[in-house]
Amino acid sequence: MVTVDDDRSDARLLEAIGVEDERALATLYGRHAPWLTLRLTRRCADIEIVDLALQDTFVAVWRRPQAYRGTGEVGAWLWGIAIRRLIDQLRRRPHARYLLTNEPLVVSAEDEVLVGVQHGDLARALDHLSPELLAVVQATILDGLSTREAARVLNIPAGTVKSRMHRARIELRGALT
Amino acid sequence: MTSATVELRGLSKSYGSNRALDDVSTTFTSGVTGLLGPNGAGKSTLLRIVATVLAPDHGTVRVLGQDPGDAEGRLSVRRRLGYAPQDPGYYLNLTVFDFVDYVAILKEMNDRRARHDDVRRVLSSVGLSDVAHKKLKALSGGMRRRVILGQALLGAPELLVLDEPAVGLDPEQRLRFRETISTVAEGQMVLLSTHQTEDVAAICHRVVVIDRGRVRWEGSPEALVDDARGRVWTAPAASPDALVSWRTGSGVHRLIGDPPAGAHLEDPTIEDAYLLLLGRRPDLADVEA
Amino acid sequence: MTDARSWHASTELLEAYVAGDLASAPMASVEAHVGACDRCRGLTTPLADRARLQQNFTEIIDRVGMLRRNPLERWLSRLGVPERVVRVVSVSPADRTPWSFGVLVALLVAAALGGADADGRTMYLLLTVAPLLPLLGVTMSATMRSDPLRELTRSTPMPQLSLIVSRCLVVLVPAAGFSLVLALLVPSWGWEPALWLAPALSLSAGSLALSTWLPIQRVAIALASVWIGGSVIAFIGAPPPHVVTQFVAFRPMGQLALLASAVVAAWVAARRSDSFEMIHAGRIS
Repeated sequence: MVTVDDDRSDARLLEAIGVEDERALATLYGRHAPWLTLRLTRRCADIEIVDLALQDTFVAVWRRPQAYRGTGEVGAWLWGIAIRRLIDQLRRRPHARYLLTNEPLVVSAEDEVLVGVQHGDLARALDHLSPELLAVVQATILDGLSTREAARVLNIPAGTVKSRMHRARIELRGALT
Repeated sequence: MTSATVELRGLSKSYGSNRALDDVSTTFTSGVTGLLGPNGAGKSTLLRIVATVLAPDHGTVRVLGQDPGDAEGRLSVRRRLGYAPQDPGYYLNLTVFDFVDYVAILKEMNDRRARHDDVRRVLSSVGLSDVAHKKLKALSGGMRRRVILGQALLGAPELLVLDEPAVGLDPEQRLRFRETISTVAEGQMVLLSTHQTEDVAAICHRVVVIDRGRVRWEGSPEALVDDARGRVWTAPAASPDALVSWRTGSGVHRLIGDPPAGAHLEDPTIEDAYLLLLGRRPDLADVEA
Repeated sequence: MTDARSWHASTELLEAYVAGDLASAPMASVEAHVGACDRCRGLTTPLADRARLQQNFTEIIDRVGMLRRNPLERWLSRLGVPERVVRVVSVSPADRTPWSFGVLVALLVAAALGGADADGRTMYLLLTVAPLLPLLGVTMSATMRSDPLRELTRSTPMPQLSLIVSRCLVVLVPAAGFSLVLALLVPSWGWEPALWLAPALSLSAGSLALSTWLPIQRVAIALASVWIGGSVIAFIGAPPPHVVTQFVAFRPMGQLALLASAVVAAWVAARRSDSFEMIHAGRIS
């Protein structure tokens, strides 16, 4: 069922899903489910929860493929859904935790800068951020969560998210110049 | 397996005063058997009886070694049978997938996951994966025929009974249908009816010609053709002596039966043989190319 | 912007990522990149657990399928009815709708008119008509003409009788529940709104039982005539305000007798269920 022999673009696949083309869903799944699973696994160690979040993601895509507005990477859009579905699943299970693995992270408009950076200045700059600031950077910039969503998963007030983001930007800018 | 046969002895069935089957006795064995005959010859009645849907008035029936007249035997046959009726009727508001899934439920496939896998398998084998979620009412007649063929393939039954499975298919679909049947026939016994001689020539290893409720001929398609050898001619003009004759596209007359003077002997086709056997020309729809 | 991507993740880097061995910066780098790069996304595919992906997809397809289910099906599923049973009762000839609708309308009319029905005549009429609707439903389910899939269905192992009965029950059970609720809500009616149930069961089961010998249409007409005739005779000269109890069928003894006859008829139909399985000339036409 997981096929990749379909060369329609992601955006075309979403259009096809809009008319209940199950094959298009299969193709989209074949392309994106592997990396989404891996990335979700870096946010939550519980395989079952990750699986449910992944299923929720593609069910949501099936229900409202038109939510994709045709701009930007479909991959990024999918991740936006996936991370929110994961958070929903986590909320239902108070014992499960959103993992800030290796306390990472980074990027979006700044994405482009980061791509290709492995040992560069930005990487070093990030590594110098405190774990608290890194967590906020990860949740908001890399995972694309809103301030409120980030506040919820990190279990800190929204105001704190904002102030930490502010400090993180200043530090990053300082380290990069 | 020796029980993979269908045996009919002295079978009769009437609808009012109309005798649909008249003392039919024959045996079908593994491989693809084609029932060939004009419309109204009794093919559907025979297949309905084999499919355990209809009870004969007289005669004995053994399908896969079981008697469909007896409740247990019938259940056993139904568990090993795939049936595609000629004019099946549909639940038009269902999607293709749901329709086939419904039949799969009736066929006791109770595990949802395995059942869905099988539904997807048969839909793909009849080339309907792309329209799996379209409603039946949105499909063309040819596609609906394929849905009916697909449901018959569910669970890879030992016996496939297909009533006019190729009607309404365009040439490409027909080709695909033949491929599907040939694949299936490697492991299953297939009994199909048709009024098209090309279907028989293309996929059947055995042919049973039925006309007016009786078995007129049975054997291999090649033997049927051989029987007509020496009796098919072409001539510049029609002849009153011929059993059947018609003017072909190229202007010459094709004659079956006794030749007029100056006729030229031809190699018979299966259609010639069929016409010779019937001794008359069925209505034109029956010999459409 | 794709041009700017001269950099691609190596398999080693991706493997380290999957294993959780990357420090924050390279990890962020990998994530940002893989989300947007087709090529590197492709490299992650073999790193994922194929069987698990397949299983998740099957689950997705099943859930997507559930989205297409109608409210009745979702409701039955929630009650714990097995999915295959849900499918069988809900996937059925469209002509079930009119009579199930009829039962409901009859009951609603009873509810609406209940207050004004001082002499019980409206109730009497409704109690007479309501049992005929399930009878009609059973007849239509059991006749071949109403089911476009009649031939196909009969070539499967599924017992015909269970199809007929399950389709009737799915309408009768909610209607019965509704009647009982009505009876409880309006104490002045007593059990009157529910009095149609026993005759409904008796007529439906009776028609099925008798149809194992005779064509069901004829059976249904005969039973309906007996029922209507009995009701009319009992009604003539019935003194208000106790019209309803004038008909023996609506009195406790009559109700018990009807229920008993329904049980017997159901038993007979089950014993002789074989006769629903094949098309016999003249019987089920």
